[in-house]
Amino acid sequence: MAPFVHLDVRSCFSLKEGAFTPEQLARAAAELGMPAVAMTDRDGLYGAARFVRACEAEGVRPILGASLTVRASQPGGWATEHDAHIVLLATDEAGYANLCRLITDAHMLGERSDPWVDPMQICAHATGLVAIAGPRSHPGRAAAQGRIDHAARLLDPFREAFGRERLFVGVEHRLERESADELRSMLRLAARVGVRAVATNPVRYLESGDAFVADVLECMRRLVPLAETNVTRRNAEGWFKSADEMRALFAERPDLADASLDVAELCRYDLGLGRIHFPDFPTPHGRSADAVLTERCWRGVHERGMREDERLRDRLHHELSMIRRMGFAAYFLTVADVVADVKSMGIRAACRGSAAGSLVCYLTGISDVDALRLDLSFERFMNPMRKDLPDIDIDVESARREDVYDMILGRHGEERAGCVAMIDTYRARSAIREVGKALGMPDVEVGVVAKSFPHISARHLRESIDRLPELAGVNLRFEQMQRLIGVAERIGGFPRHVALHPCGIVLASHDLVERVPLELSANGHRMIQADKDDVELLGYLKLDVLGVRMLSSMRHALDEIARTTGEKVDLDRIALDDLETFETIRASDTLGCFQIESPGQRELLQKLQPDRWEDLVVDISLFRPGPVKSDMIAPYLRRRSGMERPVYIHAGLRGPLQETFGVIVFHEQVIRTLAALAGYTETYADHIRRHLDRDDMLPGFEADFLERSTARGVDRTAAEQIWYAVTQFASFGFCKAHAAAFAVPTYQSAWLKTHYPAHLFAGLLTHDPGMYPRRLIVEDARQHGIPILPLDVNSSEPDYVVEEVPSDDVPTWGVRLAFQDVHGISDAEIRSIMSARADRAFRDVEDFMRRTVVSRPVTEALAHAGAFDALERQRRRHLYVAMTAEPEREGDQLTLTMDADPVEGHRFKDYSDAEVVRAELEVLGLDATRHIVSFYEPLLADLGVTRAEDLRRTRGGSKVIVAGVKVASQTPAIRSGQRIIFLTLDDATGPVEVTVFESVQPKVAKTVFHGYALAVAGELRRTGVGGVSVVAEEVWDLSALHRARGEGWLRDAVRGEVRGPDTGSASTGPRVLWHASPGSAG
Amino acid sequence: MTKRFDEEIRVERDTGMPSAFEWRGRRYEVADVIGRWKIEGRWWSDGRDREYWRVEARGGAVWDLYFDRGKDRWHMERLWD
Repeated sequence: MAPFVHLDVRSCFSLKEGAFTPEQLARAAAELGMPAVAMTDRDGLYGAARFVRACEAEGVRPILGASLTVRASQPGGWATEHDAHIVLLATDEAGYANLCRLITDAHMLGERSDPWVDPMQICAHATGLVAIAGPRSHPGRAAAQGRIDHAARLLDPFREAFGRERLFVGVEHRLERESADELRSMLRLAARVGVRAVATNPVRYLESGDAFVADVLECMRRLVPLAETNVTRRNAEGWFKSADEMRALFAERPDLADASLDVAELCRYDLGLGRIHFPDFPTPHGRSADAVLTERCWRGVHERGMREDERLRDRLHHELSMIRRMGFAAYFLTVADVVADVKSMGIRAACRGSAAGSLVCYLTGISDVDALRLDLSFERFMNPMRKDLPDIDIDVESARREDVYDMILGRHGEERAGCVAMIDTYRARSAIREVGKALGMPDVEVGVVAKSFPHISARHLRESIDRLPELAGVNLRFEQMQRLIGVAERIGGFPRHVALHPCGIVLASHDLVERVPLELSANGHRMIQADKDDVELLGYLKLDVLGVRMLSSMRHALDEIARTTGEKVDLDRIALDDLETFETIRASDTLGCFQIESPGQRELLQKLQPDRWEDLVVDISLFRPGPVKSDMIAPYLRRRSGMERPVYIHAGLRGPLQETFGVIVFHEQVIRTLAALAGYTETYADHIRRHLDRDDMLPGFEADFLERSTARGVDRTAAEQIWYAVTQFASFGFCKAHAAAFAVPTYQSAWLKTHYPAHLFAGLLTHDPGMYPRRLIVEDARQHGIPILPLDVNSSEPDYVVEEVPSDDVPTWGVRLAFQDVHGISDAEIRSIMSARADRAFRDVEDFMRRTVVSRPVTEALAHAGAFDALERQRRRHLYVAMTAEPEREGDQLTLTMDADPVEGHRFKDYSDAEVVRAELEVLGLDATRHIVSFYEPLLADLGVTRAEDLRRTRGGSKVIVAGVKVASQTPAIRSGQRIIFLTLDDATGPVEVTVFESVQPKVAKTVFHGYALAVAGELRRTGVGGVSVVAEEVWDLSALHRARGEGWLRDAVRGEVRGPDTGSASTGPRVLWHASPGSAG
Repeated sequence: MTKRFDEEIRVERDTGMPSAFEWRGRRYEVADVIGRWKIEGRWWSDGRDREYWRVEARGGAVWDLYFDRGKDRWHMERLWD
């Protein structure tokens, strides 16, 4: 039978409508032998790029279009009608541009998340488009209601705009009771207006049996429960019917089905995937971007003070000619301008990733890593064999990221730049939650089922219920649960909503808006309807702008240095060989330093003993899964320390591997090893490196490598050994350029910690960049002898600031606690404190309450945390006033009256040490005055606790007891299904890692999850790079042990016996300091 | 005059379409198929899935018959005479 082409098809990119992906659609069309297929998602082209790619793979011609929501805004127009939909298909480039503009307008002109267009807008953008007005269009609906005259009036403007050639009336035979009548009415409308009709089927699922998925999606979209009145469809005919089935439906009028082929013939637009669309860069008259880039690079050579020798000339020439050949000059120039703009805004920026391997990036100021001096590979960043487009990643201060976005979008114009979208897809848990809601199931029960994922599937539900005890208690019938999971499994992977990608910005030419629609993100940025993979497919270059808290922390430190000392430190110009900085690093005193603060890293630093900046590059690269797994660290360390001689399997490897004593540490070394032995170009060697994870390509690579290298005189065994080493390293490692780019802020932060520790701590506390909670940073500051100054209404600032503290001989710098972390305080309240204080200092609590808009609970919190103690050391009294002062209004004036001070002369008891710390924890979330563990010192001594600082020197396999405050706990999903809890305890000498395996969890889980300060007995294990971890065998709540000790039965408590009146309620959290107040113990 | 029923019947089919049916012991031959539609949905409750045929029997009366696909049974739902 003759073919047929579907022209009304909504995929899952209609967001909670179609029940299939573009890939599944393309596959289905190919299987049915269809020559072409359209995808017409609602108000969006989110799926367009991957639809085209899938069609190309399946050998089906894609037709690009969309279903637009139509609403009449004109008075006297269609205003009385409900929203309708019209299908638009692109015939050519101009048509697709019009489609993109219409969709952009639909999203940008009205409210966010309520896209619609006026019918007249569509008519104004008709060029290059085919319009299909079906039964869900305004004219179609009027016709089906028998109002043919009205319908014809509505359709007339479309015929004017699109012409008889490109306007069609879509007729459907949905096998509903009214279908035959509707079909006749639609045909009458077409005849009346004088346009052709085309047979369509509203495809929302690929198979009739999948209609249930569409029902649930519809109810999820409209936020209504699944019920007959909430489901639009009347039967399951909205599926992807074959040509035979479609033609059978329209057997009386084969011309209607034929018309679908004519429409397909008209729609010949090709999105042109794979062609790169370079950004525009306005250059002076008659000059090419290449010429401008060359000039800028030479200027950079002088600005960077580099020696203009042959090596530099060769390298620069090599890079520039590659850039010219691949057409990237405008991209480099654009990014260089962005980076310069960011820096001129006073924002710290750093280039990360392989782009740092480019000398051009260094010379144009994009990166601050000298690729020539470090001998970094340009090919790792950019070469003609790379399938993916090279992109440049820029780190900026996290606190200023939005400012940077606004600057880039503003400067590069609405037409040429946009933020990349991120398509948030349903994962098992989110799918179960939303499906459960649509199915009208209780949230709590659905939540339990959701949490059991990924351990259950609909097919194996029965077994899962038997296996997972938490499911046994779920109050859902088996069938309900099966339905819930069955639907959720089908929805998994479908788009859920479209959000802003956390860092990507597309830099394009003016045609961006003609190939991608735009909409606004939740916080008002212009965002393209394409995610990062689509951007790649569409051939746009992007710039990733990542917000990095460490950069904000360092900025804050620099600002504080300038404010307190007047010194203007230029971090980009500090010497990279500062002895004291390396002493800090070698002592692994690197908490708060970028990339080298984790326990494992600190252990590695101790062994590696870096004494130059390049060692940091190696250190960062070694601390990766690849080198760790393939055990490259031990030989590297042995050879570096001279315990072992460097081994080069082949003399040709001396060059590439000398800097790391014959061990492969960097991607670049893989490339150069292959190039040196087999004589490959670096371009081809990088191609091999990129595909080392491809089992299908590996044998070919291996054979070729062995043949070529032996032909060049390499011993076959050596060649095999080298190939083995290279494949072991595979894609795990790090690229040296990236490590070098990281090593810059690493060194800078270590330098600040060495020379301006208080200032760096202020930055770290303000921006909280690292892996550790703020209270651990405070503890580190304390250990460096930096006074932590209390919260003070007259001295604290919004951020953590540095203050000079007078001491006996030399003044020292202390860090003042900040308002920003006071529990419950708002920005407006902080502003009001600051502006009132600018007039004059606060005299007392009443004065504070009178002159600020700070709420009573926050005022109480401030008093509780001692923020008024500097005025008078009477904390309970301040708290009493804050709690009881009665506001009274006199006119507009808010006054506070206290009955002639009823507490006059009353002497309140001082806060005990324990109360002080408890208040700090409650209000600021950190123990500022002293470490909590200090209250437990006698207990820890009795228990024989091994402290964190001594653990590293303890033998693996020893039985130890460790203790501390729980600062982190993680329960990652492990492939084996085993649940492992990872804990980090802080015992005032450092962090202690604890692992709790499933076998002991029944016994200890409650204490682990609910306890605040814990003691753990277990076996010490050495992990990874010299890290240590205690495998828990027994866990106690420190507060419970503390109480037992006080009552004289600690020994029994440790053995697991419990006593006392309220045995069950070993109190949790810092509360213990209140009840069991150990006073000034310690 | 239309009358509603919902009685099980026996149907003979020819190339998928009903060609004759038996109701209350009498056999009716189908002269013409006037319409056909499907009702399916409510999978979350009764799982209704019916294929309707509106036929004119010899003699001029119009009948709505449906095939219940879930139960694999024919019913007569409506009669115009």
